[in-house]
Amino acid sequence: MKALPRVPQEKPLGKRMQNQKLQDAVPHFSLSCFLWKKMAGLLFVICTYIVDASAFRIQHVESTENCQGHTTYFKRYFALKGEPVILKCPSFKYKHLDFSSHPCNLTWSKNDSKMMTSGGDEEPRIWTQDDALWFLPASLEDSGQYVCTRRNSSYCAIVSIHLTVTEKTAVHEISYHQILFTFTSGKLVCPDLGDFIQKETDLELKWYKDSVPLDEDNKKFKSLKGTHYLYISFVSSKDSGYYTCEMSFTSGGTLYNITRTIQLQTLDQEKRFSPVIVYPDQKTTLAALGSRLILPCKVFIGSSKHFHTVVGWLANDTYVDITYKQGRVTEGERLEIVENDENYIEVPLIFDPVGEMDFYTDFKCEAQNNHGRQVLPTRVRQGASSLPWHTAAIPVALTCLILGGLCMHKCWKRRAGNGYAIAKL
Amino acid sequence: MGDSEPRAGLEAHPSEIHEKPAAQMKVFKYRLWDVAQKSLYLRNNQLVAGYLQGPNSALEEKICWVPNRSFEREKFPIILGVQDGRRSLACGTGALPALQLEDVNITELSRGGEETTRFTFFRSYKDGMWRFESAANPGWLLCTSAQSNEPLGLTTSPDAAHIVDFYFQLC
Repeated sequence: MKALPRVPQEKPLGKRMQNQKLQDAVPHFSLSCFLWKKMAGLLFVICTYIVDASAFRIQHVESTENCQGHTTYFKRYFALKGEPVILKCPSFKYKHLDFSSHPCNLTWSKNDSKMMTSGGDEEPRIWTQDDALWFLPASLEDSGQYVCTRRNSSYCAIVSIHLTVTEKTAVHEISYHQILFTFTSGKLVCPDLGDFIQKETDLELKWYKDSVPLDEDNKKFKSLKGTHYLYISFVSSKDSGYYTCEMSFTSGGTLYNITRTIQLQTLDQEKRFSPVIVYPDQKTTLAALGSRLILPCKVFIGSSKHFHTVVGWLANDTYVDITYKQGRVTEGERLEIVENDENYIEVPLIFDPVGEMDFYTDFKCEAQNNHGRQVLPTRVRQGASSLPWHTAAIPVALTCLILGGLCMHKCWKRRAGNGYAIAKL
Repeated sequence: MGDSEPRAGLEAHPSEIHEKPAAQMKVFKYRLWDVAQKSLYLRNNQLVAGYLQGPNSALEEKICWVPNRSFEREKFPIILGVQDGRRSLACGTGALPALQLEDVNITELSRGGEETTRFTFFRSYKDGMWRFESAANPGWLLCTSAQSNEPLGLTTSPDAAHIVDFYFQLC
């Protein structure tokens, strides 16, 4: 069983329901219940098993037995004071068992006290409807742990759900995080309205940015009737901030507003940049047989950090760890380098030591990201030195320079002599 | 229990065949969310797309990926995983291929081989958005439902009810 990430369990608020429609009537452990449970335990040899569907523990029980399979719903509910709230008892399936279609007895309790949601006053504020508990509207004291129990003759399951009702001043703490990219168009979505929408096509939302209504004639922001979206064209960093969507909901002749607040973060659209291999920058590298050679592949990935660029080495078109199973030739550690605000990735190819077959192998450095791919072939040639080519090339270059200098000096002398001779002609 | 899940066929071929593993295999950690702004989270061992409010945003599953090296590199074949790459996203085959998470590390699969096909997706990029095509099921794309809190799935027909365009961004 893989543990699901869970929000730490909130301490019960310890508040009794203030509302008269909810009576803290039946404590969970009555004496009769206790005795009956003991008797049941003695009289029946029950094959009890718990089916674990990760988020729910479904227990096979005799109808009289207490339900032990108790789980906490991993998502918490957050709502604003004064707004309608629907808590849904999660439906669940496990293999052939589909509890949504089984006739189950569903009961709700709060903070370990049974809730009676019918009877009492004429218009209750809290009631159950199908699998859900309705709060119309929610008040601060409704915060707490709600427990729904589904039970039929063979199975039972208990799920705890946390509800936090907050003041409107704390709305940013319960906002939804959404992201759009600059210089593109995109949409914000007004989430979690589903249970309140009677007819999707009639849905009409009002949108606000930082509490200021967005004008319907605004060309930048468009909200179409029947959609949950706010289209934003040509997003810029100035568009980040808190947006609120609002829908009207009527029940029992009373009009309620349901709001959702979204924090929009804008991210800079990544610049399209194809990787460029800057090193090795020559076709061959000299190395001595039996020496250790490090051949870096350095890739320029531009000014934005395309560190998702994949860089690797191939030997005769096969990855090196497959070609060299003994690990004589390996890829070294990948380095992500920033030089003068420009970004590079470097992956070395390590020969430890250089073998004869390396002189007959085609090595290729390969770099690929979302926008392009480059492959650069290179070879290792037998040479006197295993030093990197440029180190080895310095004495050669110096020698060439000196020889060239001498040659030029001689030529100049000869030309000077010839020139005199020509002048004489 | 996770044990009851079918195990990846890969496990029959232990990784020891390579005496020196590709320790440098870079694992990329990304956020994946659909164009309707739904994030991914785990429910009943399934990846589900929905809206995470306030502190619930901590439940979001980050997606880890590595390239699959045995496919045409031009198609950008990748293997997707969750929980730091310890569990990989696999596609079933057949008339209606389904998705499931399997307890095999994405880095084990990145070495490629035929048995890694069902773990492989070809990713394509257009106008800042990504699509992921199942390598085992050509034409089938990773999708979310237009409804929230529904499992991630596969579809051949993107429409208003099946969203196939995702944002995919380095964390």
